[in-house]
Amino acid sequence: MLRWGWPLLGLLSVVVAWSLLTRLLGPSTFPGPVDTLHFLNEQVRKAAFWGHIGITLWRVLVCFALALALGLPLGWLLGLSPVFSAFAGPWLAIGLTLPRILILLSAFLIVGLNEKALVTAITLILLPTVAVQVREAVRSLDPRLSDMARAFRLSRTKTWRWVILPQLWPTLLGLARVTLSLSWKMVVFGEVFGRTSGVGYMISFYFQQFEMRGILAYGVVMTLILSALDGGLAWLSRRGSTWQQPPGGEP
Amino acid sequence: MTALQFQGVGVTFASADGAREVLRGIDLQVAPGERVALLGRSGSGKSTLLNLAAGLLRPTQGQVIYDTPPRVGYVFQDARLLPWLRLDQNLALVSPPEYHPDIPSALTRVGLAGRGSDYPGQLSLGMAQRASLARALLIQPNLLLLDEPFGALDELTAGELRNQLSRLLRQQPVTTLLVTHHPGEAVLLSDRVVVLGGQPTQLLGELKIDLPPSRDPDDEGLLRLVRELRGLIHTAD
Repeated sequence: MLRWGWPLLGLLSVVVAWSLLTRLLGPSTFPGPVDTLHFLNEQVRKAAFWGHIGITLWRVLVCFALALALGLPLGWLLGLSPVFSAFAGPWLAIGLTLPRILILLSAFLIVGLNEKALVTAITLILLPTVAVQVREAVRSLDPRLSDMARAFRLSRTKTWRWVILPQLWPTLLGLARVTLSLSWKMVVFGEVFGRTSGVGYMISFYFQQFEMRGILAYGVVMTLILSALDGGLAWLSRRGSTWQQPPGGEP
Repeated sequence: MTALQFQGVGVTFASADGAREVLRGIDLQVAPGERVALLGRSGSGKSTLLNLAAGLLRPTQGQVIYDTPPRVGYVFQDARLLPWLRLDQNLALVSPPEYHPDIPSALTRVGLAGRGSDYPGQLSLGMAQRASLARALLIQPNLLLLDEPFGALDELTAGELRNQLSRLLRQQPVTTLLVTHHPGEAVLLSDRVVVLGGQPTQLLGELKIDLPPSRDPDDEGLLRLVRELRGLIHTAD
């Protein structure tokens, strides 16, 4: 029940709430699930639809990968070096507090309405969040376990693989999930303003045509794809923490 | 001949209020196979001495000299097992592959027969400490460091484990440094007790334990030495 039953009931409640909202606002203002699925059914037969989905997904994954690739070493350094942390403090404060729209629009104005601007802006938006989370995870590493590893003369590889990484693993996976979700939201946002392809662009296109079904259809598909990716990360997270389960496995 | 030597060792830690001198002028020699107990009050720098011996810390003054490169077995006050690894994996992690077939018997020796596939979270404090002891002994250490190994346990379990450790050390003689604030434990498990105290901590005196290797905690000779040791601590204070 806990594994499948309740999540299915939760999903059903979303569909019910959507249908109720349609009844409340009227199908022309807010199309229901069936209407949207009909529209989606027409769209999925067109190559352009998958082209837009594909390009958005590609942008989401590139920004996500870049933010992690830069943020992990940066956060590690911030966690280990108080001097670097003190130096980088103002940079992080600016990065965390600057409105995201400001970074996005500035990038489009400075670099141009192109792919480079979008990817740079979103990576910069994600980077401080990733770095701060990794910094906190590094600071919370248990020094007693590191002492144990040093006392028993564990190699650097063994210490990393068996002592440090398992402590960071839950934070890293949680962070990956948050970053992926933020990346997707920001990419769509950026596409609305500065691109002529992708889900954001199509949402903007249907907005101008007052076609709510198109907006919902793209939203549904991207939510399904991103949920699948998030589900994969959640599965990895559960697998990595089986040792935390009580004897006998899951309740 | 010495297995381990502290030569004029001093340690000063930097703190928010300035430098804090913890140890000063420690001179101590430990012979191969000798078991030395370091006895002192909490905060007297006993664990710092052990960390120096393990190479986890460098002295601010003086030096720590080993006769041969140390293969350290360390039993910490808390078990420090990795909770994400099973007991047998915890033992395998710190030992070379040729010792891996000995893991089940190492666990049996400390009373944990058949518990190799348990995770540390499934064990009581006493059992975890036994596993920690098995881990330290499995690697055939030439230097065994015991940092108040039973300090976190109830007295009944601690007494049981002291007797078990005494037996194990007879079976597997090894140069040992034991940190404790329990005079009875010091006399039961060592050949010599060194008393630490003062501010900063210095060596205040020592007592040779002239008892047969097999010792009974209720033996009159042992109890007499415990009284003598208490007197020594009292005088030092």
